[in-house]
Amino acid sequence: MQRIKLEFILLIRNRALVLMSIVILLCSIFAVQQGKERINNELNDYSRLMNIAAQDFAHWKTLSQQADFDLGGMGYYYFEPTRHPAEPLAALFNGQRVMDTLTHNIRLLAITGQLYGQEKHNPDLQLHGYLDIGFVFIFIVPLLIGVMTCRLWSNENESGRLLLLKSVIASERSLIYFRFGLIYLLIALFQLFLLCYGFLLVGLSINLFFMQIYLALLLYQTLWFLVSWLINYFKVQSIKGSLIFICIWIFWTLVIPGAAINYSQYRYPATQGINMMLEQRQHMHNAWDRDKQSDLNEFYQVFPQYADSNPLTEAFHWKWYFAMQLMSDRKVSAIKQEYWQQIKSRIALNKKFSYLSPALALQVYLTQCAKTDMNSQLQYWRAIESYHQSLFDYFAQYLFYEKKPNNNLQNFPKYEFNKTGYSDGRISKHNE
Amino acid sequence: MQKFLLIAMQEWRLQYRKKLAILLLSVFQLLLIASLFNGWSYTKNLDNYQSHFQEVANQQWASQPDRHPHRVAHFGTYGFRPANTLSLFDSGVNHLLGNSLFLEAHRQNASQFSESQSGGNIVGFIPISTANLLLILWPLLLIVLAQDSMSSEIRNKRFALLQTTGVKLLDLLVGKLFAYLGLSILFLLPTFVVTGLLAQYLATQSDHDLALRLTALFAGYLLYSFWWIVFILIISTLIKNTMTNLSLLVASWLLMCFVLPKLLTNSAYLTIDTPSQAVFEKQLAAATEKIGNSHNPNDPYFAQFKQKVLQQYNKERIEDLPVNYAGLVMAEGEQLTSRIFDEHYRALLGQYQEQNRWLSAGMLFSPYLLVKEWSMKISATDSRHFFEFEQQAERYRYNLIQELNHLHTEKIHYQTNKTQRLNQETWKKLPTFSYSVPDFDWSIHASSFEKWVGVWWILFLILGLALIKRKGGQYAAN
Repeated sequence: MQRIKLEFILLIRNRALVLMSIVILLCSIFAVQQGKERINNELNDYSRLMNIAAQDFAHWKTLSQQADFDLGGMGYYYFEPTRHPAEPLAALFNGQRVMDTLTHNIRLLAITGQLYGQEKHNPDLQLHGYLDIGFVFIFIVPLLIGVMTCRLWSNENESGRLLLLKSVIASERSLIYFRFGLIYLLIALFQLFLLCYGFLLVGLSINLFFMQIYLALLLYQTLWFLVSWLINYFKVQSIKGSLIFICIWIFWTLVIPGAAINYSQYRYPATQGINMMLEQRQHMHNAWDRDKQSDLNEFYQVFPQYADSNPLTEAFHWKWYFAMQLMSDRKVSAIKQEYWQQIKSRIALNKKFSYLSPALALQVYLTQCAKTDMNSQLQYWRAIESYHQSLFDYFAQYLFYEKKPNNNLQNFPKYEFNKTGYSDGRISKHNE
Repeated sequence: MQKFLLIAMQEWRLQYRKKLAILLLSVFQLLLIASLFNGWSYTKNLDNYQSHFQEVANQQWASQPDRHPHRVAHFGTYGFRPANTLSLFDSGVNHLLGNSLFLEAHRQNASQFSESQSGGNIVGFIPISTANLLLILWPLLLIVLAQDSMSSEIRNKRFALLQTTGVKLLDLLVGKLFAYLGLSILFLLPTFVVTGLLAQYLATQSDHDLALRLTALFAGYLLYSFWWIVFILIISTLIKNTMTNLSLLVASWLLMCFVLPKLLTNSAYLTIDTPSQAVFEKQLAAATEKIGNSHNPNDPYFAQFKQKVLQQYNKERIEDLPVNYAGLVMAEGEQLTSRIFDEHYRALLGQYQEQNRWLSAGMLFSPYLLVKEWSMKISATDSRHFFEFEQQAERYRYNLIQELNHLHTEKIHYQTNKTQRLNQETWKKLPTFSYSVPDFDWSIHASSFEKWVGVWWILFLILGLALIKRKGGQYAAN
């Protein structure tokens, strides 16, 4: 016990170390604050949109009572807000959410044109990235480990204390190992504290899921300790040892992840997105110049449930209009799949690269836990698509039979984000 | 002068003997060249795709059949953002922003299909570009090479020996500065030469423009090196212990290149709230609704507009007008929504600028932020260039739609508004979108603040040198 106390005093005497720990603590507090505020902003945005939508909806509800209610007009002008809800953990590990469009106003027109718009962000803020607590764990904690451990042996040696130590204790190695163990424990406790702080502040309880994440952090920590241990083991001089540690840090946190980004952009250029847009638009607009009834017949082959609808007359009919919008989506579904596949290939490639870099591996894992990875963005797109289909089903049951919704638009579909896809903390595999 | 060169030569000889320097410099040079080729191939591919898609969109536009002009306005067209030549060197914010814009009537759409949105980015990490390597790793390399340069002279009493030959501390410092600046020039030059050669293959700018940009970039990075070298040498002089000065330098590097930019980004985000795309759209809709809704027959604004038109033509009914009233309403509506968009868009950019003040303030403490900004500006890959693209596309969209509305007004009769079509040749005559690349003068435009920051850094260095001068006195006294 006395020994631990003495070692501890030795550590605290190192002013730079104490300063660094304080900086890390402050950064973490600020990081969690940012994450919480981000989720708050998202919620505010969504409730603003919901308020506007509620007013719009009330307006359409009143109109729906009138004899000349234009239901198709509602399909055209009414937007339902959709949202990619954040898991509380997203406040700690921002991931892809800082880039993604998290709310979309969706209407009955073709979904292809509504899904892929870029969120309004200040690009200059995106460029440097936000400070989330994940950054502290992935980038800063390893450096703390480096500062505290990678000169344990060389420091004693270069100061000449090693000889002195040798004369008083049986094995100087055991002392170094003891210090290693103590620092390992301290850092593990420090990370535990930070993670607890984050968890509690965003309203999560300390449960098995917490342990899972903490375990990942411990594993990451252990790897860095291993690096440092090797430097000590081979009795590398302090300057050289520090440089080796920094080089590995650069390699794992900068070079490999950077190369992964560049390579995935090069290997899988995501060009099919724009092809999909161009094709879909062409298809939709050409429909105006084709025979409308035969196009509609084609639609009935896909959706036979509406086939008994009356034939079209010369006049414009919304059922044809929305059927064509839907069909234009379907016409490009193969290209859409290719585009999504390009995205998935990129995700898979990043995972492969994470075998080369524990920093990347940890980021991939943490964002997966927080559902802030690209996969959950795809999940949101799926949710919107399925909502869009139910929107179509709702309108179609009336439009195709010249009926009016007489129950105050009661069964109008409400958007819901289906969470079943990731109930156990992992994204389930979707067979697209 | 000769004295300085002698010291510099000696420093070079020392580094050469160390082998570590040679190894690190060679590896880093290879990394730089590889990143340049990577940037070049990416830029070339992107450019090919973008011009291919622009061509497809133009073709789709030109091959439209006989149509009503308003149908054509809804069909719309696309504007593709061409890859700027120097994005091979510094890709800037390119990967964060959409590459295409759908240009149609009534709406100003958001850009689509950015790399980030398509899984082409791993948030939290930085893509490798030559600029990022030079901005982040080059200072670290300089730290590794030069951190012990002054301190070892003082520690090993070589400086004391030198003093007897009349060499002052400042002389030694300037000599070493020469050595590392010379090294930087030699080291950076190949990168910029290769950048220039590769850019030749892509060139969308004129040779003259490219040469100016390359020179400005080279100057920027040389100044960046200069700043770091002086900083390292000052620290190395002030702190004799090599481990302590290494720790201090690496910590400063980490703070300036990583922690500070992120902290400022958080601050900007927390203090200034900007609307999301979905909210922005609703703000536009609400503002438009307030003034007038062209689709509402009883709308007071458009009722007034109708009166004005009737008075102008001295008619009682819109059916009697010599022009198509429906087209006039469309044109008025477009003018209205575009004006509102413009106001909101400018306000939003203003908010972004407010946020960016945090980053600008950070330039006082981090030359990384200052030179990154400069580098993106010169490479035409900063946000200002992107917004310029958006604005050019919006101007084109507005003119195109108003031209179509004009056709609607003049060529389509009110009575046959629903059935009449215009000949397909009409669409071919309308201009296609092409982004005009801003010239060097436009790119270089800097706010007075940034110029002021430059002055601040020079003052900082002078202060450091003054400190050394005092320290020099102390060393001499010892």
